[in-house]
Amino acid sequence: MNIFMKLTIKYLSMNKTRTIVTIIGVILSAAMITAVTTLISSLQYYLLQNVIYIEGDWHGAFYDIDTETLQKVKHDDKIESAAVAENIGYANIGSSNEYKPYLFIMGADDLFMERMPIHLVSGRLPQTPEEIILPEHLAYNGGVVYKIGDVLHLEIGERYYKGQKLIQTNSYVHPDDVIDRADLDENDNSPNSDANAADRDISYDADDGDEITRNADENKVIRNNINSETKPETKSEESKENLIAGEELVIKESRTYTVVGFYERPGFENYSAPGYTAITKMDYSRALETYAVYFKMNNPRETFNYVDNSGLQGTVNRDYLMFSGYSRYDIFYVILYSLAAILIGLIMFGSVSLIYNAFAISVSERTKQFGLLASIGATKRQSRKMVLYEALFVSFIGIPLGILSGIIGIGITLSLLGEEFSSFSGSSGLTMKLYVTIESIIAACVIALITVLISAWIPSKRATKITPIDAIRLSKDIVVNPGEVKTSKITYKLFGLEGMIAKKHFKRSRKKYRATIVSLFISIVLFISTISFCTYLTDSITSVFQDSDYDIIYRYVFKKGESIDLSELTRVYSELSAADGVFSSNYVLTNTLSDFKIPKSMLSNEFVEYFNLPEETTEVPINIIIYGIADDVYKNYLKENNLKEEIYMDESNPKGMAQALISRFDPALQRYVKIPIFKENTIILDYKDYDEIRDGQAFENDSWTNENDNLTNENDSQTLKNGNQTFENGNQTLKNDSQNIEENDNRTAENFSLTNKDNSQVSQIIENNSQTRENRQNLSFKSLTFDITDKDLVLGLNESFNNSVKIMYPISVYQELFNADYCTFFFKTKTHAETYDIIKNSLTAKGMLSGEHTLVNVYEIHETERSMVIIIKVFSYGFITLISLIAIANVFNTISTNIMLRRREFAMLKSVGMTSKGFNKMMNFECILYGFKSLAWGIPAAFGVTWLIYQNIARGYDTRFYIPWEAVAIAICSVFVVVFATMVYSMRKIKRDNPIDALKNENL
Amino acid sequence: MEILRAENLTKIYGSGANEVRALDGVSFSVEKGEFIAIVGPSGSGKSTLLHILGGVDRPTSGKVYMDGQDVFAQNEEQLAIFRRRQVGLIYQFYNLIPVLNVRENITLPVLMDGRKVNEERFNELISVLNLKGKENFLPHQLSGGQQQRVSIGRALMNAPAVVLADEPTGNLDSKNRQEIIELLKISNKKYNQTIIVITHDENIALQADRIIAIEDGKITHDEVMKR
Repeated sequence: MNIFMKLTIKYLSMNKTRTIVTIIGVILSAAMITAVTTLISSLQYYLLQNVIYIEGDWHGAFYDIDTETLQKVKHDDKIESAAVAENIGYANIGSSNEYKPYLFIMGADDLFMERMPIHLVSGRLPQTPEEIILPEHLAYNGGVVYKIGDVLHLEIGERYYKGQKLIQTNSYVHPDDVIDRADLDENDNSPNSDANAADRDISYDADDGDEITRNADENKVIRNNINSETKPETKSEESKENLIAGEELVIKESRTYTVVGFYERPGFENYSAPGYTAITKMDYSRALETYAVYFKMNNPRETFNYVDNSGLQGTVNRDYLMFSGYSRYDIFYVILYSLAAILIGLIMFGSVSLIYNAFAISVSERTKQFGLLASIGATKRQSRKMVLYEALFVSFIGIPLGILSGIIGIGITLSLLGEEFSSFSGSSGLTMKLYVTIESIIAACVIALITVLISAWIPSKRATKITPIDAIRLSKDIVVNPGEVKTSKITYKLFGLEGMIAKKHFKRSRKKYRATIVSLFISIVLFISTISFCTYLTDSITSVFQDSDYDIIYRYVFKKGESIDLSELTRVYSELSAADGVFSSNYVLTNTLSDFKIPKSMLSNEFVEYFNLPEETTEVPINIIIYGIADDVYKNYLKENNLKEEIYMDESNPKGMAQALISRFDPALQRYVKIPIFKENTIILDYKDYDEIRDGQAFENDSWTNENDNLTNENDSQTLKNGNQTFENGNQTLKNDSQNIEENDNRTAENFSLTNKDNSQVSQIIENNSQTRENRQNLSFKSLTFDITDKDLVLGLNESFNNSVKIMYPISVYQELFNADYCTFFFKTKTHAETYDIIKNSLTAKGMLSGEHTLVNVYEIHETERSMVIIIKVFSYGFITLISLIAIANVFNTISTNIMLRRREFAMLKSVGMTSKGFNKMMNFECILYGFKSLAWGIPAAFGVTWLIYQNIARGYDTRFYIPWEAVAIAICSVFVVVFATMVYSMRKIKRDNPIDALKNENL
Repeated sequence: MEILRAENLTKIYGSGANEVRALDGVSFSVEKGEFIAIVGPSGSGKSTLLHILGGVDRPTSGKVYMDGQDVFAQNEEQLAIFRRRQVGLIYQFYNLIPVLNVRENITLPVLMDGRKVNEERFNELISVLNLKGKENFLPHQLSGGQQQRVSIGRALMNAPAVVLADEPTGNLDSKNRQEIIELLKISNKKYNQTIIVITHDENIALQADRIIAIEDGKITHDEVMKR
């Protein structure tokens, strides 16, 4: 060990307190940096696990290859290993999903079973080529129910269309679609389009969090097809003549299988795939099959090229490669790494300011020593080295401890929070676990070391700049301009001599004070702005979602012309509502009158004002939703709200109970308020006009999203913004229309729809579905009469179809007047997941979950958002805590060192007779100076940063600017508490000094 | 043999009205083995002169040759090494490194040079300085006289071309004062060490071989004492 290293260590051990505080600073900063890096590696690992769960553990795949090619692929030295499945063929299974009529039988090898996402729900994996497992969705989507032990006799064949063989990636060619398909088929012949199709499917899966989206996607496929059903009619008659039959199944053999298990819908089955994938054990004795091979490469980076150059129909497991880090040039990494960079930047800024101060003070304190060493011949480089040694020593202890505590911290956080992540991973239920990579530790190590070195380098530069003689004399510190230390008489009068001395001292050594004030300033700004950032973030998420009063919703959609068998439905309902965990439930019949033209004269002034309806407008189309409530429930409701049964349950003179509100953004209150639609409290709507509207090309938007997807809820400010835009467009249209009303009548109806506010995916999906239904009204009456209530409606109705007129009738009355589009069951449960499964199984068994009927676990959707909020809160408060700790350590360090540096001065004051009371007075005054100065700069700066954050957040979410006053209050209090506490701590030491010793002690 | 030569040294602090001429054209030459006392009232510029001779401060103009080498022609790095090897500085307030013990403080110039300590010389110095048994003491455990002896030891350890002492006895009582002077004289005789001492103390000045008097930055008197 050379003398400089020795000297450094001796200095460090002499100033124990400061060394420890500095090391704590390094530990905190290394811990935070490690937290960020390990969080990234854990997240990456979690996402990869998720991909493996959904897609499987493979790099690339070929779908339809013969035995020869299979052997070539298997023995290619670029291939590490290959999981193989033989495509045995298709069998018609009589599914209720007309676009998925087949069972697709696949013979899988052992590696396939191991690597591919085959997740058993019940039973076991097939062990012989005679055993088979079936996918779960065969029952709930296809309506074909089997149980373990059932024996299937299947006529297996291959699909052909126009003489061309079709495989699982070619979706079903429905006879009705043939005309549309004809164009598609041409494109399909190019090799890329298939790969693209496969990729698209993968991306579906990535988004696919849960069953709901799946169903939606599945429905989308179906619906799109259903839409196309109507298209041929609009085309010319000729095309109908060209209509050829769709694909055909050419049977080649018949086989018998025993069902041994059920598994989750596999990720390798496309949503548009024509067959439900059943898996049996690969039969090695047969060789004439075609195969699908899912392989891993020796060098995964080559996968893209390998698949592209193979000339085979294949795909790349893009997500797998991305999350395992083999294809980095992806937006995912851009976002992830830039977020991490911002965070690490903040952390580095905070910690450099702390560690820098520690070094700056230790250097300035030792300036004299540096000068002395220089005078006896130390070179600049040697002096700088000493500071470097100090930095290295501090890092040597601090960084490993920091990395360790960072890993432990994140480990604990994730083990507590990991469960919350399971709601993001959907059916896989994977939790996020701590996953530390060597890279993440090295990165943390390097970043932390850089932080410390930056902090040490700046002051060391300064220390060696002054000449040795100046250093020995400490002349830099003594230069005082008399004008500078002039203090006002008020200070003297208010705070006495002690106050004046404090003030003079403050003015004299501004530089030393600046360090303290700057560190306080940075702490205040970081603290307040981090809190406001987190608040904005959680706000923007919470504002998007909102609790509904039910957890599970089931909708039974009545088919065109289907007679409504209420007794059967109520029987199912009462069975389901008796399911375990249900503690409250309700069912309603619903009829939607879209774009009901309501005369402007009936509308409230607020409404007219808000939408700025032009003078010429006479009518406004608003959606009316009519609910039929079970009589007993309705009776209870009336009783609870002190309403008379005679009025509201009178069949001869039906009178509904309605909620008619729309929400609007109130710029004065800076939030959404609900305003009434109608002027009066009792409304009589003339019904006869409605039929005329519907004779046109009616546009009906079910607003289904309100009920099942709160992300697109109308209270979502973002959506609402868009909604407003839509509405403005509506206004424009309306203005144009008013010039030419009759021509554009339909367009008005289309655009000027209050419920058209949901621009959501799902609503687009469902958008047109009612066209397939004819929901004619029973026109036995000519007007709707209802009273407006400001109370809540019955269970389930409060958060759906917002911004519409919602009218309730008892079912007895309802059935007299209206048909129903659908029947909805609402369940409030204690155990949503279990209850959901029970209900799902029960409905599946009854065949009531196929087609358009839907069951949604709303609670789970909300849970995703709740989890998001919890996760953000935990991480942001963790971040705030650490930043605050750094800040406190920083302030402590600067103040206590400053005081130690003034030991001689205090000794002198003591020797001339300053009492300890006087000292306290002086120090208190200094504390106040510190506090006020830093707050005076810090709080406005923090407000500025908060405003910038607001500006950024406001781009995405409609939010209001607000200042986190609690944080400001906490910051003010803590500044003074920390400053006073540090003063007291350091003064206690000073007060014990013998003044003469201190005076004599030249070297502090 | 000439070991040190100062040529027309000028040092100016400040500028314009505030200009202070600390040194104003000082020239003299020192032979090897000389023991010189520089005297003068406070503010006369003698400390400035000493610091310039030692290479810790730079003159505004003029040159210093040590062992025939132009001291200020060197860059900072070389100057530091020059100080380390050719100059021994002794201050009024000892300026020891508080965290290093006696041995480390004395051997510091050698250690900084990364060389091995000449144990023979160290032991000899320790006994000459009467610090035997105190090698592991820290400075604050020593008396003022002892501390100053440590700093003399540090100055002599490297056998520099010249030892410069800035009022080495200014902070000591008369007994210690005489002791320090004796030590300086011993090293002067024993090692033929060139020593330049700044002092107010006439007794010390009279023990030197040569007395240079400075007033207002100029040499007013340069007298070789007869022995």
